[in-house]
Amino acid sequence: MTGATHRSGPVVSVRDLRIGYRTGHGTLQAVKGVSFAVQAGEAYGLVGESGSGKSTAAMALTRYLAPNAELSAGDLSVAGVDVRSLEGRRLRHFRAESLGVVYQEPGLALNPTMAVGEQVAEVFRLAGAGRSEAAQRAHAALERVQLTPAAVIAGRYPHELSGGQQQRVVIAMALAGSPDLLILDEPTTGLDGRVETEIMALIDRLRAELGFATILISHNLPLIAAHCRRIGVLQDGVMVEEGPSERVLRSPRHAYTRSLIAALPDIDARRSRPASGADDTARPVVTVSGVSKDYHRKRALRDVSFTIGRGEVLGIVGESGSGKTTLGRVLAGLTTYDGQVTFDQGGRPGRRRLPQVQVVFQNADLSLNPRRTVRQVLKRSIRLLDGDQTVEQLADSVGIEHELLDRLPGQLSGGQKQRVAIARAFAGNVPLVICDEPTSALDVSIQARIIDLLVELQQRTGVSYLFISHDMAVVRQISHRIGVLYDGELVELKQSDELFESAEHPYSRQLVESALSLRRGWPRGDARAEEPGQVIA
Amino acid sequence: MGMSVLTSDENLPEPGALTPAAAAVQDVATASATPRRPRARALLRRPTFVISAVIVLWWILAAVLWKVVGLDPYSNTGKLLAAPSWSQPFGTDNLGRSVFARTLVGADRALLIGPLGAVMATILGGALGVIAGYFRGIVDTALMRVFDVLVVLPPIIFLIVLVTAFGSGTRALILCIGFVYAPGIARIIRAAVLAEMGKGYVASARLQRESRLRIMALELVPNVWPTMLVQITLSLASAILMTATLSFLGLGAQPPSADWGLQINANMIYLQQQWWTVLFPALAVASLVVSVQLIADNIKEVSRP
Amino acid sequence: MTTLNPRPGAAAPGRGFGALAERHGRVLRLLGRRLVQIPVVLLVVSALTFWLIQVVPGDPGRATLGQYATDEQVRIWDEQNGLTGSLLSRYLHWLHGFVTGDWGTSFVFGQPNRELILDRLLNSALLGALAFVLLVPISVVLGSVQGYREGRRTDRSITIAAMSLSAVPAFVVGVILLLVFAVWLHLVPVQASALATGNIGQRLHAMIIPAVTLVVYYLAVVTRMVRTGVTGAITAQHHRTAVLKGLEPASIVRRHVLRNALIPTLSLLGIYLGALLSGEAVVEQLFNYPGLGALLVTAAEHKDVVLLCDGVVVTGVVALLALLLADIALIVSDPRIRFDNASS
Repeated sequence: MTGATHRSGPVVSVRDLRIGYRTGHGTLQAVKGVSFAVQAGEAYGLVGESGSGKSTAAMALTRYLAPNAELSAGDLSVAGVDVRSLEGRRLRHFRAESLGVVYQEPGLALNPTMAVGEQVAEVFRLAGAGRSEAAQRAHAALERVQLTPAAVIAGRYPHELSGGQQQRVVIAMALAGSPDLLILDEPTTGLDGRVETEIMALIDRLRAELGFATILISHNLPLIAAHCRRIGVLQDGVMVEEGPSERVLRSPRHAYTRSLIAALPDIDARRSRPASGADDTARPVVTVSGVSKDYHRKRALRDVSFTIGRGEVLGIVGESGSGKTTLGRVLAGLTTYDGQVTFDQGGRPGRRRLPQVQVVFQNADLSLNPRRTVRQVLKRSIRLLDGDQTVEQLADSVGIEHELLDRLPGQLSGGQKQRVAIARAFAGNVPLVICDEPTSALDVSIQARIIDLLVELQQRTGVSYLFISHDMAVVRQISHRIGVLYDGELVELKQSDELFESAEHPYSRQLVESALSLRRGWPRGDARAEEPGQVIA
Repeated sequence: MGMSVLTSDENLPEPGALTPAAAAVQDVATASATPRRPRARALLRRPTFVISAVIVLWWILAAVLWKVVGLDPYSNTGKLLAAPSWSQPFGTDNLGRSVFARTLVGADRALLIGPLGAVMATILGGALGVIAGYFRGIVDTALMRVFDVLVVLPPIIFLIVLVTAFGSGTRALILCIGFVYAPGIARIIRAAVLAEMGKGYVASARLQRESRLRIMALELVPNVWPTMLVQITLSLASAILMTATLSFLGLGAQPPSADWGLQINANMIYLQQQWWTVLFPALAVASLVVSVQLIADNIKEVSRP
Repeated sequence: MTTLNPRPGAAAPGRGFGALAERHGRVLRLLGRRLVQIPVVLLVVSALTFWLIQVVPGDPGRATLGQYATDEQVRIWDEQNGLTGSLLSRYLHWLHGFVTGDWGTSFVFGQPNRELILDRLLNSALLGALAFVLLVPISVVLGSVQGYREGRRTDRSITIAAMSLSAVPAFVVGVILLLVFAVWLHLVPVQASALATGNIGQRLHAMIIPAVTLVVYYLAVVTRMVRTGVTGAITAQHHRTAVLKGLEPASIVRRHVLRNALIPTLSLLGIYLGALLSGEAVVEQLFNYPGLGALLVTAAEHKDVVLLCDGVVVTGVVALLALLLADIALIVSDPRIRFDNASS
């Protein structure tokens, strides 16, 4: 609406941006001389792992930085306004009129004690609208992001909306001031693949309609590539590469970009070889029949049945709330349930009292006792699981250096912690290991290494996995068969390739669609690559 | 009363987001966190802790050594209600007793009942809290319902009932204090244990068929220990205060005890003219309680993750 | 855009009036549960108190009637006062009396317990209400200042000052305030006992020091809670949203910070309101104020068991009603409770 009309230069101009944080031990440089420009109506992407400074660089445009931040730049302007010089009233006006921000976790970005309509209306009130006019315009804004009936949604509180609906409210709010620039800070990271597709399509459509520019910040390279015309790759506060998405993806020039691309799970490839004992399906490790589970009168699982063969990797996909974590807990015996879960005791005579299941949890921070050293944890695990290795051998097998053994979890990196958690699960010969989103909390490059480790361990020891994830690409890589959970029901269970080729249930088809759609414009194999700069609806 | 609630904000859910400053630093710094500084040294660097510790030590010395030094809190010096002077630094009371001696000797009783009551409350409350948090279900519900009832009455009223029933002998008082503070401690420890129970390491230990006792003692207790330590100190401060309060109300120590609360109670009528009979024991109890309280606060500050 | 039906149950909002009815249904169920809890808790509290107090050795009948009364007279007196028979029958006798309004007669005061208790309760409630009215704004202001200055010297200073003040026993704070304002400055009377008689102005004047003593006592906890709430609210991501919307600072504080920050404080305030209204024994005793707390101390001193038991139960009633009030305040101010769905 305002957008591209009033000027010929770029909407965003950043030159030699430097941001540091003063700490007790000197200044930590988060952004070290970054420059980029975004044209009116352009879709620009900033990609990088956590700690790369991508969010800090983009948030500098809003001047919302921690009090201990030090900012310097050759140029830092949005819509012709020099952001560096803004203070007080002028800063508020700038924020209200020139830019909008969409945040990572919409549930937290909305005020929990205010109806969402009121929160959108606040922006119009600020612009001088009367109470009823603001309310009407808020309804219109909600309709524009396809939240209908707007009058009903407007009266709801954030916790009454789903994640996707919440993010639509945030978008409506961000666009309420008709900004020139929309900053999207990991807008779909906490959302399910299906919702992600919808939200990104909505943003692309609105950009085409309204003409604002976007800066999409993400760690998700495929997502950025699919929705941005140009991308900048950040590593340790430095922009190591910038160019049209197409070019960056097809012929990355910087080694870091290449490593990022290499680390991506390739949706068409699979790493796991056929299960060593796949023919042993006559005697599955575990048989699940008719399992149901209710939480507070709400259904979490309904009549789920399947088996896992010896040496088989069974992937379970589904969105949050589909019951996949509950399923893991049922198999691990961590919760009560109706129905039957039978473990095959054969082949392990006389060892009936040993645990049949171990779990690798999503959050390695929480899955290690902060007050016990790695050595203590592993030693005790070997003892309890009746393993025959030494602590050092076990550490070697998961790639933990020996000097880490006497450290506490707080002194380890995320990947190292997850390795310890994996070592714990493999301390003895337990037939089934449940991996509950084991890589979701990790950076892409580390994710790939952890997946490699899991595959290698599985092939070497012949255990079975129940591999739970929301990421279709990861699941496909590692699983022999994939089960799709939807609203507590196992709606489909097929060989991995078969699922990708001929999913039957509409929900599975959507999952596959969403996963594949991110690979549009993707160099490897997909012929449907878009023209650079074309808006993808 | 009130005291043990000071840390009730620990029951609140953790604010989901870090401060922008913390989040920024976390974003930049890698996971190679610095090793945890020894807590004792961090404590010694805090001035309020050091001053408080010195004050508490002073009262402990007074409580232990008054007989050795030869202080006499009971005999008449010959001068009634004499103002503070060189020979009687805190003056004398209506029976001619040295207020200085009585103030120092009062530490004896305060530091006997308070700490033992607090220890009892912590052991009882801590154990119940860990058990309730670990087993959850019926055990938890039953305990919490009982505690719900017990916390309905203001603590002082609860204590008045208990003291009426069991008397105000030293042993009875320790028991009463223990009973009054245990439920609050149990609740806080339970909340801390529940927060830990949600973490993967407890589930992992259970999956490895670790024994319950070991899980509670080796996995849970070390992780709720900072909370427990703070609770011990806080309930110690409260217990000292309560003992003095009961004496002040005339329900605790009986004459001629040098108990601080009792001294204040007995000398209130002289407040207008002979203020020293009231002021010095008042300052004594205040300094001890405030110091213990500040020690608790400092422990809490340094044991923050 | 393809959409599947929203997952049933998972944050699926109902529509229109049906949803509204459902919302209110939840509130009513919550309040209903509280209202059922109250008599149950009171029953348990009274039984426990009654049982504990009856353990007391001593002979109230003899003590009242004096050494010249005959054993027969004492027995009749005991019977009249429900002091004979088994513990259970005595409890039931007491309970029946309490429920029907016959609370017995105090042998210490020679007056009907009900009159005595209700009179004293009114005095206590006046003092408590004054203290509460002072406490809330002071702690909200202090806590907010701390929250906005988190980690700086102001924050730490207020914490230490408020905590130190609160840790000083109330009778010491009272003594010092009395010394300064009554004995040395002659601004207020030393004894507050006259305040049950004077006119409103005189009463308030005399109640100031006791009320301030109470405020000091509760200040640290409430301030701390407000501080935690404010820190939570301004570090919450929705605060950033409000700031980046370009809203005025005043409207951010009012609409986005305080509203969220004060919710956790409500339950705490409920507990303290109950304690304040039903009488703070220490302060009442110190200032010689004729309140319920002081009455209970006297009852305990003289083993006036029936008076004590009646008083304790009345204290429980006040505490529970205050909690109920806090619940209602919470329901009004927190939509997450109003429309609670146990999200998993």
